[in-house]
Amino acid sequence: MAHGLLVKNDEGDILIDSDFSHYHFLGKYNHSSVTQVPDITGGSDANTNSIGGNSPDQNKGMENMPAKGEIYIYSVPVNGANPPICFVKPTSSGASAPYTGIVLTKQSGSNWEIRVFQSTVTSASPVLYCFSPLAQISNSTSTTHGLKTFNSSGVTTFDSRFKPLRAVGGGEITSPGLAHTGSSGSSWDVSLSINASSVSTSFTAQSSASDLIFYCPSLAHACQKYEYEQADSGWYSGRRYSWHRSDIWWCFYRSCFRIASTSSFEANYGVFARGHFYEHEAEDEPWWSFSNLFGALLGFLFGGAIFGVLIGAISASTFTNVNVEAGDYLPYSNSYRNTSGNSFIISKASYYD
Amino acid sequence: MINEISVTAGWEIINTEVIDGTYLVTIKMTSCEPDFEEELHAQMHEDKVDHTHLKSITADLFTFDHDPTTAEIEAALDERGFNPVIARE
Repeated sequence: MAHGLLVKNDEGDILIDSDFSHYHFLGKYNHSSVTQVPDITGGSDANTNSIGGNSPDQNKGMENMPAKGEIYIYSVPVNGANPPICFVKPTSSGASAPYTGIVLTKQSGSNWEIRVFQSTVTSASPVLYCFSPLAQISNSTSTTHGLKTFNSSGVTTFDSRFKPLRAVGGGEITSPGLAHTGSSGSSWDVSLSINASSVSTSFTAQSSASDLIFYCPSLAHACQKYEYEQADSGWYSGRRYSWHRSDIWWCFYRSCFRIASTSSFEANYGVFARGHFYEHEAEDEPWWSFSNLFGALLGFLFGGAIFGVLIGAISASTFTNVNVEAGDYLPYSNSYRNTSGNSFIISKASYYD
Repeated sequence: MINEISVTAGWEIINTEVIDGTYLVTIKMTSCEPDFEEELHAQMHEDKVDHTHLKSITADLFTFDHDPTTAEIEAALDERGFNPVIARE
């Protein structure tokens, strides 16, 4: 810095640097709408209504699947190439609070769209406290005194008349690996609810947890599935039958966070998207059907009951294609990504309310 | 062929991934009803006797903190309740 202003505290931390575009308070924003990722579901039933025997028809929807979180959509009026830094004021804090995280930041016309994911549905909504470089803030002020700095290009980089971004804590937090551990289901009952333990890290203790706001985008994600398949064939009440059903259930989890106490920040997952696909085919025929009689006749003529059985078996389908391919519906299976090194910053809502 | 289901009961690893030292092993588990004796089976078909040839296949995830041995996988399968034989009702 050949010229300009550099202000440090007693510990040498930089407070103001005229070469750096400091972020200042832009405003406090409520969401404009709420959404959820639609369930991705589908099923194919073929001739399963009249089948005898034990053809399974249960749980062809989203039974037993864990509930999805909500996505709050915000439109932040800041026109420029630099995205705003948006802190989340969660709906609550503490050990039973929902987890929250920013899952999308994109420029939309002269605004920036921010999407915040919350792990559970609540009546209250998170609020955003947003910050931006001064060059993108159009708020006016009537105050005529203070301190204003410029960089070498003459662009304003700090202005004491606008509230600066003040961090009171921060650090790095990891996310759990898998969202669900242990068995993923039994027979046609899926079990993919989140049972991972929260990851906790500490920050400089503050006086009130409910006053804290945080910045921590959701980076980690996990995707887990459960597959089950049954097939049967044989005779039932004088009818030859065959059926085959194949199912896949999956959940896509996004990392999210909460203020657990005045000095503790926690990470876990919420169900961001989910799906269930199945394929079910069946066929039966009475013993007097052509194929059964033809098989039995050949068996009689050529002296072997087995021959009759084998020929008879040809009449009913084998359903070897009753498979649901995981890759067609979910991004990946039974794994997780980006769980380490997620930076977070803590500030206070009361600085800006 | 549907009346002669010949899927071998047992298990097989269908995917393994290692992340930060954790082994994520997806295993397919197949269970079947026991085969009938061949001649009896043929007679059952000829006489149209009610009977089944049920099989079930489950694909689920198991985690290990090291590359698991066969014995360790089988212990984990036992713990999860896997039985390759479906008891005929």
